Amino acid sequence: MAEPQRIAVNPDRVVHETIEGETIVIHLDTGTYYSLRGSAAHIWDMLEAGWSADEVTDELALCYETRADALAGSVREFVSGLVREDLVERRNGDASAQPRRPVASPPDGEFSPPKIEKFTDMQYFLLLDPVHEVEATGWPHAGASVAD
Amino acid sequence: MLEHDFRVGGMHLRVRFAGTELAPLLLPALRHLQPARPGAELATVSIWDSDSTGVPVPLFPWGPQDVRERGEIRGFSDSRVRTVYHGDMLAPGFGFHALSVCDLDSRSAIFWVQGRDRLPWTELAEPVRPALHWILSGPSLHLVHAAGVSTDDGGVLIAGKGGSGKTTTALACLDAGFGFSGDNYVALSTAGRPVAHSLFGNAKPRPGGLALLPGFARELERPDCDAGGEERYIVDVGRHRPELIRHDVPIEALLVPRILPGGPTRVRKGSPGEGLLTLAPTTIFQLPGNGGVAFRAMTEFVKRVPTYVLELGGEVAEAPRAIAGLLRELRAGRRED
Repeated sequence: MAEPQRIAVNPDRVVHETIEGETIVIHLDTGTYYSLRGSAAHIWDMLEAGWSADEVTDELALCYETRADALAGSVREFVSGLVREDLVERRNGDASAQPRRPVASPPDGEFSPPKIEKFTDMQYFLLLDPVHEVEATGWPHAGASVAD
Repeated sequence: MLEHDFRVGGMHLRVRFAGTELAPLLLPALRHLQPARPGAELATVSIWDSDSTGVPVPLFPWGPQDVRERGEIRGFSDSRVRTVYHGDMLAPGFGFHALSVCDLDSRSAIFWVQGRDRLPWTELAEPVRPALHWILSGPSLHLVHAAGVSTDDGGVLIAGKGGSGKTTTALACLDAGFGFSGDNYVALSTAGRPVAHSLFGNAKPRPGGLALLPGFARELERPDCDAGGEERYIVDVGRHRPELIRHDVPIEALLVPRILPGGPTRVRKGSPGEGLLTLAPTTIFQLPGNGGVAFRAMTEFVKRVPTYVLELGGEVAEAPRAIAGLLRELRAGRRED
């Protein structure tokens, strides 16, 4: 039997907070930030609290009185999106070794597939400068410069 | 050596200059600050340039390849020491060509620049901002990217990235007689009731903002600057309207401006998430340092202070009326949203 897939957030690179059902996530290294609302915030809270993707799916099925296999694809795609954005890392683990924490109730209404709202307008603050040629005595005493 | 002592919140800020060339350029933005109080914790920034003092900066023990995002130097920035190079490696002579180094434990920083001619307009408007951010910030005091304005009913922070209407709204409020703490950065105390402390006593309008508020045209520093390009005008509020400077303002609300042409100017309830999404990224990414600590502080702030969206659609003078109305209602406990 495959080990349950869990995720972990790297606190040195990613900060996040859920307030009144909206999760704000900021990737400190890339300059990208995100808003997760509705089911996305609820699923994030469960994943971050140690729930595996399957446990999340089963919980959603209970909350929304829907078959788990109807929701599994949405949850998998959401987790893949978080991994792609480098917001979380996949961790294999035994459920008994990592007790999950309870989370708040799901949002009201019907289930909507979770969405990751992404903002990249701050990225330019983190753009690297190209390397510049300097003379042998070292920088900051620059010699004849050669642009990349 | 010239020394100037100021109060920022509960901190004693000492600004020291070696040589006489830089003080006239960098001090105007801080001149409005009150004198330091005895016994306050000291934060010191020491400033020098090589051209006028003849004292060169030591050869950097790092290379251009070690300059990372926002100029932070790999291997010379950690939890205690911060080192940032300010320069353009593609420009002749590296452009700005300056260095900020800080020891967080002693709250002391050094700022070096090759010469006065290298200072960009941003340094005249908000001098040694990274160094001030590092030495002033602490468990309960943080520089935040927001404007601060106030009436007798309290103050608001106006958050938003460049172009969102933050400075124009702050200037409109100033024009209407509001108290002014800053148009782009304030120091925010988060121990107890949130209080905004003034740091830079000027406003930096774009030409479009100045066109809406022509009364400020007579109060411009450097009126011939290239404000249509990359620069902005500087309005020295501390010099021209000192009676409106407010040093310590309790904050009643966080405003997120949204420009909606053609609609009414009004204030509607926003969510804490909206407030955090607007306030946190611009603060964290424009101020190199411990983003995690800053994020925690802003998170606590938006949980304690309500967020409102300031929809800007009408005449610019409507914004201060809407903000004054909000503050009146909050003070009287009449706001029901």
